[in-house]
Amino acid sequence: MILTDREIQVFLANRQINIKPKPDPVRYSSTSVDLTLAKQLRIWSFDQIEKTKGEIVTPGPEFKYSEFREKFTKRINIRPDKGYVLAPDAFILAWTHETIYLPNHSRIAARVEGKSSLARLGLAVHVTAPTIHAGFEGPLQLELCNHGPVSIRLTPGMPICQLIFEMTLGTPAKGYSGIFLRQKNSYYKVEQGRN
Amino acid sequence: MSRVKARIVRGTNGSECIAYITTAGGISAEVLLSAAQTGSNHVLAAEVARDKNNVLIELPQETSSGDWRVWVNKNQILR
Repeated sequence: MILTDREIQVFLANRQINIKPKPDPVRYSSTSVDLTLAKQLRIWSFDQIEKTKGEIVTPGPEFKYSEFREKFTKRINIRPDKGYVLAPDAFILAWTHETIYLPNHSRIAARVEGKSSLARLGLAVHVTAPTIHAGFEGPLQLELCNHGPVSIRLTPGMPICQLIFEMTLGTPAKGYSGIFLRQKNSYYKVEQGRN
Repeated sequence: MSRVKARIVRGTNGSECIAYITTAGGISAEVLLSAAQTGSNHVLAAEVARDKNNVLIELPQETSSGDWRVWVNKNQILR
């Protein structure tokens, strides 16, 4: 069952869903709540990609995403006055400004989806991985891709995606404990680095 | 459902129109709608909340700037 705005707010009040900072009332729709774009982005290091031209990535037991990320991407902050211009066909990593925590016992999972106003421009916010498992904690990583023919200016704080909450039938035996829990190697590190 | 004052412009085909709604902040919110969801000077929207001067409405579609809900002055609600 998909939660409506009223149920989302009840679950927030009961801390069965945790979103920080708390979304503004205009960020809700009937069955979703919008999240906003954080100022940190990860963009590709094209000079490094050029240097290692021909290298093939082999996902599997030996593959370490953190090493891949450090080698081929760099972290930048979006300038609030200029924004970040996402060129046609460009693909970058971004985060939501809000952090999410879905306690395992709440029996809630969620999906992150795009917004139709941005979809019309060609902006996708994930690459086939929209699920937020029960037990997840952290900001959401977004895989932004501009499929349109015109560049799109991204600004910190803009509504970038929507969250749809779904109630699970039972309580999961094991909460989410994947490598992206708290996104420790990415956004949290950035946040800690700023302090 | 409430009728919310709006400037209505014909869309690219007969079943579509574009509505411009003035928000409480003075911004003109643009929303693409089915013609069935509008009148000559209004759009149909659901009231979600009220404060002293304003009403939070939910539109039938998302605005160009990405909002489903906008605050409008209570005078924008037609009787």
